[in-house]
Amino acid sequence: MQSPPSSKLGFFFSDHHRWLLQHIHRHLRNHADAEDTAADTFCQLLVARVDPDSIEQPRAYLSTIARRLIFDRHRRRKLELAYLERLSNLPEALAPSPEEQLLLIEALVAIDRAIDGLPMLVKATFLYSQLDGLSYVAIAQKLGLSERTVSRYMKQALRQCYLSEVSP
Amino acid sequence: MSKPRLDPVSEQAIDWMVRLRAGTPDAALQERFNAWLAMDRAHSQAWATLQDRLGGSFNTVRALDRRLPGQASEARQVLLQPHGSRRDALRVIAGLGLLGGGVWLGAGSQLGDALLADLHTGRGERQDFNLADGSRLSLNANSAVDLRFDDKQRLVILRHGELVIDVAPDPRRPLRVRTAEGELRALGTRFLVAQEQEASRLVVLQHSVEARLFDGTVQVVQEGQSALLHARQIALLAGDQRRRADWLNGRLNVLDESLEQVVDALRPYSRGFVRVAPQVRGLRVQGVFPLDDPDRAFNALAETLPIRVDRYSPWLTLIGSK
Repeated sequence: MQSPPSSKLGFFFSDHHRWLLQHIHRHLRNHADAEDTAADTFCQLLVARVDPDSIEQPRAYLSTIARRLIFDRHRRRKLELAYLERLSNLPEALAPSPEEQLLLIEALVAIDRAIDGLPMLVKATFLYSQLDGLSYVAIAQKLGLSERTVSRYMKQALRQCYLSEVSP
Repeated sequence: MSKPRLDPVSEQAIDWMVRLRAGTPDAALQERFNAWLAMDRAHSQAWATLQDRLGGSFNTVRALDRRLPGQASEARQVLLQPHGSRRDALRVIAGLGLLGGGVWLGAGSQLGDALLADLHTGRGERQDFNLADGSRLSLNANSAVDLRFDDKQRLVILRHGELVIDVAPDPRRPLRVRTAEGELRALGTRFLVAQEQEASRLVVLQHSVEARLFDGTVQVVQEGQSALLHARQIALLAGDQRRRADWLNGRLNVLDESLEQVVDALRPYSRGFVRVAPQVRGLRVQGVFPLDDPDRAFNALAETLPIRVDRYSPWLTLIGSK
């Protein structure tokens, strides 16, 4: 016999699969993508061993997971393509190995998430300091800001990084 | 933007970081900072947390930049490309609920369709594609590739699933298939690539293929041979594996494989999830199964193996021991 949670999940899948697929389909034109994302959504329930009875609003719950998956899927691809596009303009000798490229893309996704939502100038300030090691004087010159503002932006970005749950 | 709250010690740690980063810190500042750090265990803990948040991926970028100067700048520019924030995007799709994916994601992309095209198949769906260079690409069910074709290269990125490609010759632009483990470079040829868990499988159907791992390991694989690409090694496989391309004709042709491998091959054709109990995963299987009717294939498996198949809905099939 199967344990009750599996069969409950089975019923839960039956109840909501069609709705979830249609819901995702409104956001993703491609049917295969939509189906994949719907499957991913349920997989997250399986992996997290969620008891369906504990979900009070199944549709809201499912669509929240699905939204995150849809966004992450596209964001990741966009960063990856933007990076590969830039690489294709570099002479081969300066291009990282495929393995390094993968590492870098992973890093880009993580950093992007850590600084997500900050204003563009705050991001730029922070990245000049964090990635390029520039002094505030140099950053202020590059971005046409006062040093005071650079300090303020740094604080704003550092606070957000500190609050992010996982280190990027 | 609302300001999330931080405890006072964390705020102090951040203030110190802001001050120390301004330029080269002078001795007096450094001394005061050291005093603050030593004053309280909570101080050093908050400092360690902040360091930790600023390590990880940032270190990856900086380390690469030390080897290849310019990479940090590339990373910065990619990260600063304008795009909606995650939060905004989530709000927008939540609020409107009617945007096509391309509207908020594709707009503003500098990559035209000529450079980039995505091909995918859904569950139970096989498809053949004629590529712009004259190559012919077949995708097994639930597979996805990205194409990067330009005047210097032809790169097929296998995101997941399985493909067979019949490569049109073009000496100026070698065709490569990239997987999670490495790259397969066509030497004028037809071959199969499958992305499996932690390995990619290569079966050469015609001519030969050069397999290359990301660490530089290279192996030329000849017609009729096949290989598994692991992260650190390429293993040539015994026996003729060309039957693995039988999915092109809707058949799964199995010669002594584990039940787990067989189910993995049927998964892309199954509407819902299939879980195989650990006790029966290793059972050996032999036979030919219809891909387009996975339920029939599962029943056929249940007739010859000591397993039971329980369906909890069309979306969940569980395979366990009898």
